[in-house]
Amino acid sequence: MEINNKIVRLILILTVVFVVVGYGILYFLRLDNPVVINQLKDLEISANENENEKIEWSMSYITNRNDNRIPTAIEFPEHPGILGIPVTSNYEFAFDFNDIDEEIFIGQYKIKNIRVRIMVAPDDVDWNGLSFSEIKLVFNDESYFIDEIGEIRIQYENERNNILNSNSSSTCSLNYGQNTYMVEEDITITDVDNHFVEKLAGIVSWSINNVDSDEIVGMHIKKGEKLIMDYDLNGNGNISDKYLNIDILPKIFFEDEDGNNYVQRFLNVNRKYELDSFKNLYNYIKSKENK
Amino acid sequence: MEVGYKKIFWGLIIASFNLKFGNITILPAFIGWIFVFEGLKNMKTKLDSKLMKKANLACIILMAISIILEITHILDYKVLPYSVIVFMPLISAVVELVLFHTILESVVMKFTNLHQKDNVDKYIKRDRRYIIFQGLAIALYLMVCLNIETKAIYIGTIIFIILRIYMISTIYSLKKENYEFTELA
Repeated sequence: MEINNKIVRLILILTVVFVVVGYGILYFLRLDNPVVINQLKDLEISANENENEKIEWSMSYITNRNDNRIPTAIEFPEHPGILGIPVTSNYEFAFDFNDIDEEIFIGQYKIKNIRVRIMVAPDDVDWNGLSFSEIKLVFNDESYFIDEIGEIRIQYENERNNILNSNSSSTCSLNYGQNTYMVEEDITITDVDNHFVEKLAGIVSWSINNVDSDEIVGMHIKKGEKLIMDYDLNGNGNISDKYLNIDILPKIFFEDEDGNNYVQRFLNVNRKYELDSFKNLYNYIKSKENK
Repeated sequence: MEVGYKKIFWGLIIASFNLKFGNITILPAFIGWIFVFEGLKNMKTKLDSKLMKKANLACIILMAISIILEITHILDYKVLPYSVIVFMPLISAVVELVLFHTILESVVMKFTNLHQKDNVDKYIKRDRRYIIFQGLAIALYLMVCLNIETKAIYIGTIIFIILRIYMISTIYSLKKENYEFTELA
């Protein structure tokens, strides 16, 4: 019986030690405010005002596992007149806010996924080029948090040009992709849109016909030749770069022999790494805190 | 002794398999623990009094926990915060470990005094098996409380139910034992 008594004592001591240490760690890991997972995104909308068109994008944030608050409203501190609501892609309007978010539990934390939809905006807003880099998410108990979200840049869709014809041989994988076009006229590249260049230095690189995007201005491509755009999304680097969600539309400006100007946007330059382990989640939170 | 074991036996059955009618529990777990408490009282004079006091205290704690859980359930879990509710199965498991081990320890002491070596060995083994598996269930509940792996609650609960049945059968077996002095050969 003496051995049994010793085992019981050991179990009791270990339980107390684990509870005290464990709760100490949980208290240490507790988030004061949710943390948004950053993203860089080009969001295209129609230039002609269209009432049926919704300006919306998806967003994820990390919060405490037992945070049961429901997001009910969205504000943008940089644009006080613009207001949004969190919605689901399945519902035209979120009547039942319990249904709007998908939650992924990882240890002490959970990732909540919502869609941000712009609902109210002043009439004189110029959407083309408008950027959102900060969000204020209001919850059902009137509490809220403000956090950086990376950058969402809205721009008008360009009219389709009929000089570059998309070729079906385009490929893409998680970090690498290629878009191939047949050139119908002789063209000269006149400019490159480099809006995200600074933020994506070391993360995204792209080239046309093996010439780096920094050096393609002035490049001539003859009629009948191929324009091959390669892109590479580096999955390495520090944790905040690694888990930065990217969905951008690199853009070139070019002209034909007659001096007519055109624009081409390249699609599929995107990646989304899932934060799937507690260690990565914790490191991501710390890296954002230290920025 | 027999009456005491009978009460403990039925008390454990009520505490383990409480009957529910909608949101209302007809035979809540705490009634089962009251039976166990009564059973322990009946055996107080026949078993080691110090150990019986310990078992009684454990039984009162289990009663209190089941009353709290019952009220929390009726009020739709709004009385206590989640971080406290999630702790309850862990505390129950620890207190139950103390209760059953104490009962078996006092019984083994009794059989030792009665010179029933076979029964001493039998119940020491039963006690050890119970302690080890209950320790495992506690470890799994700890994982849930500390958010290490919440799915551990399912395995923990299955082990917990099996152990309850094991303890019910042990009490039943104790009820049938002969509590007469055996002369040493």
